Amino acid sequence: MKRNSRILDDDTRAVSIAITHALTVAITTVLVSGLLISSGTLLKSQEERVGNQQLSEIGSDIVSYIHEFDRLNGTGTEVTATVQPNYPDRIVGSYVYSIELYDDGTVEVRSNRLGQSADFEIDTETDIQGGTVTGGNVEINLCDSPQRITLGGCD
Amino acid sequence: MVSTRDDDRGQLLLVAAIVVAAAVLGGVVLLNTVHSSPDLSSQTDAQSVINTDRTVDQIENDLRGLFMANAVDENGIRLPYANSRFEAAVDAYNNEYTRLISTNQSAVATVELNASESIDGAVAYANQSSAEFVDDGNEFVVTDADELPRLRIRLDDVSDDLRVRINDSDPLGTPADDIEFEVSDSGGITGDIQCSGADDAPIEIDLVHGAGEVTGDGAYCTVAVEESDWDLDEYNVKFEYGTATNGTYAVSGEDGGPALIDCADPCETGLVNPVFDLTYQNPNVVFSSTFTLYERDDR
Repeated sequence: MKRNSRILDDDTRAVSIAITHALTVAITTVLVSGLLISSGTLLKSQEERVGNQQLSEIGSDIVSYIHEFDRLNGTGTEVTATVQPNYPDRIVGSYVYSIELYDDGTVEVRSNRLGQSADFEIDTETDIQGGTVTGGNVEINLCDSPQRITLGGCD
Repeated sequence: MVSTRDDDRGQLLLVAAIVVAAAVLGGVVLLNTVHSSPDLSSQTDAQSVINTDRTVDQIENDLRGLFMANAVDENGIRLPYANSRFEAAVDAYNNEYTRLISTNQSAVATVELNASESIDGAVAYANQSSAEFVDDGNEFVVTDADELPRLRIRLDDVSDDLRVRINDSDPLGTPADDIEFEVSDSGGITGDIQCSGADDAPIEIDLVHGAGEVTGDGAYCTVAVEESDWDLDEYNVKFEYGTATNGTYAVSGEDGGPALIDCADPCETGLVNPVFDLTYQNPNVVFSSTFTLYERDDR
């Protein structure tokens, strides 16, 4: 038994430090690359999902404001109202976005850099006047003479 | 067994393990940095607009009550007109409401009577339900009114029919041109407003610019005269009834027509349709409106 052990101690056949190092580096590289690639894909999909949800949330919130203003308009004559919601300047931390209200009653919240948008159709008794605002500077208005709902001020 | 003597390969494995660990930790940090919640802080803002809606609605209801509470005849019947004390009552309400609202939220509300826009007129009324409906038989109760903001009738006996005719000429033109409805104990209310179940006294009819509600003994109807019919140059109101028709009524008419308004005695003159300027402001919302108490509805 002792003799066999001594034989193995001296046996350096099939052992190459260079090959061992190369294999270790290669395996590590593959593992780290896989990790980075999968992280990037995960981040990208998460970014798109969160961006889409934030655009949708902002859009639906604006639609609810417009409907609320439409209701308020029925409470009297020469009704004016302004609300300035506290939306973030950017979505997903870094993407600027804009909100556009069209005369036909469509609200579009769009981020060109993210390449996503959310559209909403609204139906109101009060007239709609088109307008555009950028994120973080949102103002929704119910204006008089004539009564209308718009974005970004009554002028 | 392979010897571990003079073996320094573990250093490389250690370095590799550290690289992997650093990559994992870096990924975690990166994920945390980029990760963003889809929930935005819009809840508070939405609540502020709902509060505006609720506050305005509350103020308008309060003003309706204040208006009706302001003028009461000698028998305690509330009449739809306001006297000179009304403006002071609105001021007092404004002060109290502002105090009340600012105790539990960052908001301020103001209510002012817009005297220049408010409309004067007259209210013809009967205040004794046991007496004949109108003292001097079938007659006009209001003539030459520019609008009829409120028409309220309570019938305590419908064993004789009552016909209400509203026309833009005095004397009445052809019945086909009238706004006309009839109350009887056999068919309820028929004609330009209808409520077949209202055939048992007491029956109450309450119309604002031709739209409102009818309540009877076990009956309730929302009613409206066709908008195109309720569009007269002037309004003349006549009751046609039998001797057993008893009840009370209050019909308010606005001045401003081609002739001065005239109404059957008893009759009070004063403010019949007040207009108010409302403003409400909280950190997110600025609201203002002109509120007419009896406004023609967009039916």
